[in-house]
Amino acid sequence: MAILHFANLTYSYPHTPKPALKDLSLSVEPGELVAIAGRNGSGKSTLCYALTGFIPHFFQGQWEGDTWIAGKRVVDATLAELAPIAGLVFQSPANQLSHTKPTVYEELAFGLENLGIEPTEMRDRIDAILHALDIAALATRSPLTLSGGEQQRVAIAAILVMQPRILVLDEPTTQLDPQGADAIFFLLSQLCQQGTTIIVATHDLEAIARYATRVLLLQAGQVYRDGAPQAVLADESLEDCGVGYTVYTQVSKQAQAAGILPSNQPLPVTLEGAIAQFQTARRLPKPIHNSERHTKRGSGETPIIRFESVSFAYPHQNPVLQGVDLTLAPGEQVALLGRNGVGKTTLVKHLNGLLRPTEGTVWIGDRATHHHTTAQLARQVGYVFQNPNDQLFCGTVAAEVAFGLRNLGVSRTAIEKRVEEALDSLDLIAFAEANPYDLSLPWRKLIACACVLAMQPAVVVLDEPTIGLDAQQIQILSTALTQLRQQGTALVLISHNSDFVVQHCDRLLLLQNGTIRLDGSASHVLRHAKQLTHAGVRLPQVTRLGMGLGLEAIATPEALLAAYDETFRKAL
Amino acid sequence: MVDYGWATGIFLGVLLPWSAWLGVLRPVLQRVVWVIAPLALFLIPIHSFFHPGTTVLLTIGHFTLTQEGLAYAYLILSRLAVLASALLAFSLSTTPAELATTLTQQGVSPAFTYLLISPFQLIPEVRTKAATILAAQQARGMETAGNLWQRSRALVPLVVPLVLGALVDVEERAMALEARAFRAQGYKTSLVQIPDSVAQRWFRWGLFGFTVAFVGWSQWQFFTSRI
Amino acid sequence: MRFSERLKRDFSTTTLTLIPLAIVLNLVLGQTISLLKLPIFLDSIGSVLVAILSGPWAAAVTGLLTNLIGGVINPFFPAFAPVAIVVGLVAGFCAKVGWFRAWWKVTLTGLLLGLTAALVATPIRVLVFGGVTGSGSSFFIAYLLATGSAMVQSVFAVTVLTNVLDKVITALIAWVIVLRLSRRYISRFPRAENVLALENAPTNEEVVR
Repeated sequence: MAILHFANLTYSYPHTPKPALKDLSLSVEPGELVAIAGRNGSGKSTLCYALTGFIPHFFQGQWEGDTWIAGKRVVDATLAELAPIAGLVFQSPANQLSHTKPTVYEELAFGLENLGIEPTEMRDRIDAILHALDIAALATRSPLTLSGGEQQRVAIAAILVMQPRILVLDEPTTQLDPQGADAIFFLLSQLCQQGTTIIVATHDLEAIARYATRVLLLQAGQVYRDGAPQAVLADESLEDCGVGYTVYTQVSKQAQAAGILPSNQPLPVTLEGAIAQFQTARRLPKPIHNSERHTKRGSGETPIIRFESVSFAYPHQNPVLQGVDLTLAPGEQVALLGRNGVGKTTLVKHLNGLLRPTEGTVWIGDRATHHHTTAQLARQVGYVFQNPNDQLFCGTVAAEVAFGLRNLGVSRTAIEKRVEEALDSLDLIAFAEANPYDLSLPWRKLIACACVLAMQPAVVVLDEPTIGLDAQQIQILSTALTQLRQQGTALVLISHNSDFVVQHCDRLLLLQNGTIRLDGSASHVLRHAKQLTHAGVRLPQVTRLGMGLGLEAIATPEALLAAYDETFRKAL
Repeated sequence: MVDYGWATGIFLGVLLPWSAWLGVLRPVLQRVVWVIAPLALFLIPIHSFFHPGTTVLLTIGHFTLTQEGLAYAYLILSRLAVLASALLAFSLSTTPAELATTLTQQGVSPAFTYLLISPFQLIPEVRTKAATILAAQQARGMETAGNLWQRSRALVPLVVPLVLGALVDVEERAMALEARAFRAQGYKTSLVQIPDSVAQRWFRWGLFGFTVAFVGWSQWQFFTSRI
Repeated sequence: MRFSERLKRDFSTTTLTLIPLAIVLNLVLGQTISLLKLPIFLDSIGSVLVAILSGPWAAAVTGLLTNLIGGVINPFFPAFAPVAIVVGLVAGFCAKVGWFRAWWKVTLTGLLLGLTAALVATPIRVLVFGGVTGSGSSFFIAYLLATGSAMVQSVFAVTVLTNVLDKVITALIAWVIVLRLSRRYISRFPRAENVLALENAPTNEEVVR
């Protein structure tokens, strides 16, 4: 019998005219690992809440239909009854801590204490979970001192210890680094094999393709496609649903169009699938045009940013940066790579004087950051922080974008024009008069970008700009960044999304142990695949596909096809 | 008239030995001095000169320093020393987690315990967030120095994101609590057991009785002295 | 609605998660804005928010706990718990009668909060602290005493002066913040009706400038 059974569920949040879920029917068998995909706002989170009984028990609003969780009719059960059966894990690790327990061990007991489980059984269960999730080493640490990835594992453990039959996760890896994300998905597949039913909403298509047994593609609150990952992720309508394809599928699509791959085969969705298709392709390829990008990197120009043997340490702590030398030409596009906590954010905070070097000098144009306030440097360097909630405070999007311009003393008429341009470049014109907090977090992220772009700085710093964005929103951001490149604005990008990185940056920097270990063009740096992987960088999908075919340091789909083409012809 | 010796006696005879027994004598003394000293700086001159009294000790211009005034300042300061040292001895020797466990074991509702304990762990998180917001707004060209008007303009951009951010987190935090059966009805258990002997229980009741008796007695003294 | 039912609704899980954050805001915001060197401390903004969103009783609990927990930082803080409780209650009842629905009503609420806070704080300051709480305001009290004012009047005058501006700004900021929340979000709170009846929200221009 199905463990989750939903019949014709229609639900609207209070004070919202449009239903978030429309006539949704769904049946999940025990032991499935179901991924929920869809653009932001398609109802992924809402479905997660419905699958755990939070709809209708926690949220008010209009509710219709018949839903059953593990043989219990949801309307007749209470949330406290459903919680131990269907556990829910959220995106933000810190929000899930009880904030009342001094150690991870006691944190895990929180739910069991609420259920009135006896201490001896509690200890047995907690020990088992610590072992199963490989977090025994964290047991005596304070939950507050853990990294995001560790906290998320503890959050999952805290739910699993209640022994739910169903585990629902709403974008559990969005805020984690690649290693943290991989570990979580691996864990989920193991749990699934042990019999727990798992539902996970995520934008990580590669993980879906690898681990899920089934994908639900949501569109406007309805199940648009429902099937095996191989079928759904290669579906023609995927892009209309705001999801996009994995790079493996994209490259294969391009290859089919160019006649390199036979067009009668189903598109691959995984790395292995793509490698297999390329290896067995027998048709002679047509030569394709290789479009190398032109870099505006002038060697004679005065650098816009110059680090002179910069070292930095927080008071009474080990140095974060040690003797960093770095120059950035106007209009150059650079990415900072490296593990979380390696000092990427510390480095970029030197660009606008938020931090000042303990040794050495940072020059912005001809100004040393030592002698200028951050507010003064804001004309030159625009910095988009990771969390838009840390800066948005106005009642409308337009006023928010105008705030920075008013600080710069831009005239009233010029402000209007620049606000409109900035909003237009990020496809936000329709939201100009909207309240930022009426929009969802990913849109607020784009608003925060618009705020900085409007200030027209010479350098734009973006800290993890793609987190939580869906494929369509990433596309909007991409277009805006391409515009910046054309205007000759320099870009410093911090991102774990390495396919996005190689798409926009000609130059990559690898930060490790407080120094810059690798510095060069994308194709140069990607040659050091082992070192990058070791330093916590997930290689771009396109690079990995290249490596699978024996091609080194591939940074773009075009380069891959060109190189493949060439070696293929040589082989003939 | 209330006996001036009581507060001094309790401070020296009970609270300081108790702090020493708890092993927090040094920090308690340091912090008592730290909070009392600035008050003394104002209390002593203000009351010495302005408290009504007849025993004149000194005259400066048309201000007179009286013995009654000086005594009153001492009374206030010694009472404050009792208040401060008692609270400090408690807060320096008890961790929030121990307090939480004890309260739960004594049958206090987990909801109240949550309200009392979770702020301690949230304070560092909110402080970090406040620092990030300051940085983010400065990066947008906001100045935090200047004349009163310029500084006031920075108030809303600093305060609103911090408070809004906290409010926006409330929903997810509430759901996370529900997901861990926080509002489940019925019997609750506790992983950590804090030992509680019969002697300790009697001692607590004894202290409670003493406090009630002492307050009653001092009130009675107060009213009979007026009649 | 019976009082016990009202309380049960007021202290929903959402309120229970709101209160600790409000307590922390009460305790931390003052330090955050101290670099602006303004004559305000915003140490009851969390309580006022709770008052608007979850009613007077939850706000009173927020005030009480703020001052108890603040005792770990400053042992004299708990002595002012009655002030914090009253501020929470008054703000909650003001919200209930619709005093958080237009900027001038909010200003009046702030004035009322400042006055009641001073009324409750004065006896505590006089009886427990001998009229002195350190800092610059003590100079002013000394001056008033020297010019012949009585202790209670001097302390009340100073307390009113320092409190009214702070509470008016606190109330206005709290109101602006609640307006920023989406309607769907406000409806999660037990006293959503305090704000959701508000149809003519001010435009951003009025609020920010």
